[in-house]
Amino acid sequence: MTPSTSARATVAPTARLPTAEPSDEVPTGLAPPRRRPSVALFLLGRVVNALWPLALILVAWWAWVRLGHLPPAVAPDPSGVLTFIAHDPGSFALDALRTAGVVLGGLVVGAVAGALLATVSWFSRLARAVISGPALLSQCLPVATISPVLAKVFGYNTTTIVIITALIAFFPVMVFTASGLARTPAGADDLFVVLGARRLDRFFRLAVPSALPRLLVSLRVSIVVAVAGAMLAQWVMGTSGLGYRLIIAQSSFRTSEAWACSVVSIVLSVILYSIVSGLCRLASERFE
Amino acid sequence: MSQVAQVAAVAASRGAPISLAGVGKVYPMRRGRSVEAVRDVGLDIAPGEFLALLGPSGCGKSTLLRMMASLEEPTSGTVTVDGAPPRELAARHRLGVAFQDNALLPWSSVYHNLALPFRVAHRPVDRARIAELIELVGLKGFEDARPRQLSGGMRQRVSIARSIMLEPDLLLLDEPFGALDAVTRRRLNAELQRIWMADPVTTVLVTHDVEEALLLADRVVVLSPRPGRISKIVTVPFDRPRALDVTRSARFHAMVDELTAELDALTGGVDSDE
Repeated sequence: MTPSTSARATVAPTARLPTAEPSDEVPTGLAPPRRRPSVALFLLGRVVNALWPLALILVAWWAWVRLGHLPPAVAPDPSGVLTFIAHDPGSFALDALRTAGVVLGGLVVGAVAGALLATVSWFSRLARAVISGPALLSQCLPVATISPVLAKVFGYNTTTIVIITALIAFFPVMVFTASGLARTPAGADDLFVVLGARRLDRFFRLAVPSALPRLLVSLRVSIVVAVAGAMLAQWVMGTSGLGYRLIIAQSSFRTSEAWACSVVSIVLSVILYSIVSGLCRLASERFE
Repeated sequence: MSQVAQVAAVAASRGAPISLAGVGKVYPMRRGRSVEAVRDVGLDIAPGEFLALLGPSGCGKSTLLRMMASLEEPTSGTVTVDGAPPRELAARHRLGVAFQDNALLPWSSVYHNLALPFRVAHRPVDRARIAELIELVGLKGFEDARPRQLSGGMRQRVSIARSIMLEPDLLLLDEPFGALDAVTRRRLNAELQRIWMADPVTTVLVTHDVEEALLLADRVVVLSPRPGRISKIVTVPFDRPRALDVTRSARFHAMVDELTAELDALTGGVDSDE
């Protein structure tokens, strides 16, 4: 039977129901929209919020060195390290920037790869079986052992370090996204069956929106492991960046410089995490 | 028959017929056990008929509905809609279903939830049709609200509006007002009656509420508890619209008593959730 319009024509204004004002059903959430702080203020707040634990660490570190009477060659105190950084801030900023570039590049490549692998797994049970084994295995291989191999294959350059970072960063994204794609709202799977939805529609209109909150969470996990991975890869392979500078300083017994690299990398990690998680929160607020 | 009812009856020839023949459903459980939800149900539903499946909790009435909705396959027997398996109707986007738990997409506004049937069917979104149905279910002004901002009754209205959006050949209602309070429920039933009269298409309503069944349906099918079997079929004689004069009549009350007694006898004094 073809859809008839004659039936619709009978829905005259008289068919309007006495419910235009649902008095007994008070909508619960239609309060005036919350005011949103600007993105910059929001991010600043996040950064401040993330930095106070660092201050705590600095105090504890200072107390440890001073009370233990440790010589600077073993463990420099915070003031010494901070003075060292202040002495040459430009070079540390440059190294931090190089490392940050590698981290973000690895995060983007890894997140895209992770999301794609989760997508392929959603569409094909066979693909899921094929992917899950090697994906898990890739996480069991220490960076220290796979880095030289990958360096042999891709060369001793930044690209290889980005690849190593991506290799570490993709896994949380893949796992969270795959589980998010399957976590559809109650009854929605049935709904898409009775609506006669095709697979592609089911994916884009149901699975993807369902997965988005978890995908955002996974990025916050990934950024942290990506920083650690990038540092380690630079440390092992040695091209440039904070990790490379750390190993050089360490092997030359320039303890203050080595510790300075560590401090800068921790700060970098916290800042990157704050930015990513702040952006994710903004995105999820817009989304919900 | 009154003038109004005759007009409604003329329009009522729309929709797909349903045929259930020897339908049974057995769910396998752990350790080789199984639960028989439905046994040997035979039923023919005419085009444009409003049929209510009435029964206590766990009598398999929802299972029957899910088989008509292509969400379950019968273990034995056949379910056909318009002479074909129900999934063909769904594939042609000619099936409308309102679920008990509304199944609205939480990230979409009322408008976009209502536009979903068009999008999934790859048809241009008919804004006028959506506006018409938003008006019909009394949700004007709530187009941009998210489901969580709406009350339970309003969500069910959206769900009903979505189910009839593409003017389906078959409308399936699975206790659409089951989770609502009595007052809201009564009013939404009156609304549903009007909505249905505006486009009387083949409809199957699952309910455990006797008055709801008698208010809305042409025929009431009473199912026995597990395994679900047809224990009684009652034809409802009242003209539409069935307003207060009908629901307060002695005849209506007599039928309520008759069906309630039937349900009581079926549950045999065992606690049901009514």
